Amino acid sequence: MSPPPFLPGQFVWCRFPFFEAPLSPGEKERIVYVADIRQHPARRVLTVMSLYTTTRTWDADAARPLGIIPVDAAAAARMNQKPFVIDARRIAFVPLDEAFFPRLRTPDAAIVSTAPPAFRSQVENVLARLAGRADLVQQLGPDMPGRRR
Amino acid sequence: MRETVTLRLAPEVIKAAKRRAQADNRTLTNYIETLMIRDLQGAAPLEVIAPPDIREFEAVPLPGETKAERKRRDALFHALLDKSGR
Repeated sequence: MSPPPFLPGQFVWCRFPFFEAPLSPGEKERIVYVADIRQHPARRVLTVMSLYTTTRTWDADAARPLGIIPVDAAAAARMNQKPFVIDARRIAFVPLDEAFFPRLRTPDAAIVSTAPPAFRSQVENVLARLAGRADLVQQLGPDMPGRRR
Repeated sequence: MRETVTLRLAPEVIKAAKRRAQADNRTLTNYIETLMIRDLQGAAPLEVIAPPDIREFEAVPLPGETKAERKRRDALFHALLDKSGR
């Protein structure tokens, strides 16, 4: 099987499904964060673990629940986007096909941008905390033992 | 003073909600109010949309990924499914 057209840590255009209709693509395309790509060993189909994003900004005064990752204008611009929020509490495993990824056959395969490694680690840590698995949280920063400065 | 409201819901939703409320030792009103409060406070539960056989899917090897990193990715995948009750 050929390698997937995009990788974890990338933002791509996707028709994120509604909870009530998990098998149908959502009405509108939106940018999602690709957290994982997995394959069924027998059926050889790929599924994309997608995290919901929205450009609706998070009120700075409002309490921020675990799973909400606001991305400010500067960080968003570095990822070729307007300010946005990742809601890591909303996860969809969607088939890697043109129904869910209508731009799959375009030259950039629906990829909007690639997140920097530190951002990717941040998202993984939030997911680990959501899962209640503190043991999976990565310690970040230049002062960690074994980490190059 | 508590207010009374009338809701028009699908019978199957009401039936399922009553079962869930009963399992939680709550009234239907208390169950609905708890859900609303939780949502309004932003503490929405983990919502995972996935096919029924999602646990059978294996991690696709990624360029430059070590065995340990792949193991960690798998652990996170299963932990999230566990947490969401799938």
